[in-house]
Amino acid sequence: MSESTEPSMFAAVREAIVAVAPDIEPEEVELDTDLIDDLDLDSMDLLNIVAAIHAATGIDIPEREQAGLETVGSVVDFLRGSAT
Amino acid sequence: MTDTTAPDAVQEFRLPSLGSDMDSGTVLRWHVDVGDVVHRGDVLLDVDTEKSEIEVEIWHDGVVAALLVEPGTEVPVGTALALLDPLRGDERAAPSAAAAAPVGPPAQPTPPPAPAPPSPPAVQTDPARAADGELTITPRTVWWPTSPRDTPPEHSAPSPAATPARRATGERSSRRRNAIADLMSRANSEIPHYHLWRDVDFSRAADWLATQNEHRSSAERILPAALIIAAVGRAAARHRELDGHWLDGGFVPAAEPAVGVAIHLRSGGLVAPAIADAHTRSVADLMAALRDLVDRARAGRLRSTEVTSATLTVTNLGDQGTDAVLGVIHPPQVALVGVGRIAMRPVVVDDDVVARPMVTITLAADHRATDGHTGARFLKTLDQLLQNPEEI
Repeated sequence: MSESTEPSMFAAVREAIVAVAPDIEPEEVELDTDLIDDLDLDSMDLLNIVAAIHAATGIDIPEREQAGLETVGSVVDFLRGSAT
Repeated sequence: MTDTTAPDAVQEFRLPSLGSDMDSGTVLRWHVDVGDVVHRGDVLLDVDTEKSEIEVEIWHDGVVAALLVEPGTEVPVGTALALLDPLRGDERAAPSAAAAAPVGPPAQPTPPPAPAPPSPPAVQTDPARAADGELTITPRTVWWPTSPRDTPPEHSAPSPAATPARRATGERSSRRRNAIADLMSRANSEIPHYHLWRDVDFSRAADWLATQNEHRSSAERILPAALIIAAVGRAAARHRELDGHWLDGGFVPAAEPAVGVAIHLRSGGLVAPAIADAHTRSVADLMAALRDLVDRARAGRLRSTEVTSATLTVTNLGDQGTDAVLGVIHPPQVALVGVGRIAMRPVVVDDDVVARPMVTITLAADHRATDGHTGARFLKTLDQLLQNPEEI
């Protein structure tokens, strides 16, 4: 993709989260939502979400980066940074 | 080739007990029709239990002669669900009519390989039960794993904790809670637990994982859990007194480890299905199997052999920040391995204080089956395996 906008990256992240954990309502996913504390995602969920984001956007978050991403917003910021 | 043990009459396929204190199940859907050839390991039907939906496998060959229960019907454990004729010689090679591996979830870019169903542990069968010619889906030993009954339902008295009325009127989640409550109550009242912990230096394992994952896309990345399961399987194979079941007042060792993995269900509740061959498969292979297992556990597509065959269990609670797990064993198993969070801690190495990724691994064990000395050696073996991940 030639241009990434925050709304579309956010949508991709939210879609990945809801696909991996269907019990999560899309409305629950906001930029400041904590992946572990608020959404109760475990390490397997997070890995599956990263894989889903990779499939949707072509951006594969490296393992060493993954640990530092605690909120939805931090994932979105990383993706925006990688896309530009 | 003639199978001299093959029954020569129509056999009943009965609803097995598939979990803790399971009294009944609801037939959801049949995977076979009358006239279909079935082989051991084939899924015959899906059953809704108090805890989840289970794919019920058959452990004998045969030809479906009749389906006795309609979908939507709730029946007690032990009810005859189907009748099967024995296979004739020309049918033995016929392909199974029942579906083979479950379809993977669409969200994953790379579907994981379908795991082979774990074989039931080959412990000696009870000659008295074998003599009555009853066709159960697996040898007698499969009745164990999380059921408070150590024997098939028709031979046992109801558990004192069972309250059928409560179960009949409760919602699914409260029934699931009740099932767990009954199992854990039984564990606490019957099993004299001892608990040991060991702080394990995870730096070599972490480095090995990082190296493995550098060249892997996220769809194939390996989690620490897979490495730990591989190590637990191998340690269990070396310390067989911790791998098996306490039945009828004695310990019955498993022929080989079937490591149960505790999986939290997002809808609430816990299942601990067994992952096959954790003591021999590679870490990468176990990771694929673990992904598939977690997906199917959450989707309610576990197989009956998976939920009934674990010979010891691992529970990993590090993701939510727990440092150490003081576990409760799942009867009739005799051991539970607990894994806390992997985190940097100050440790002494060669007289210096350094920061290392550490993890506290615990063992809860049944003091009827083993003493602390055995548990301590098991944890030492586990630690040594994790110090040499490249050799796993």
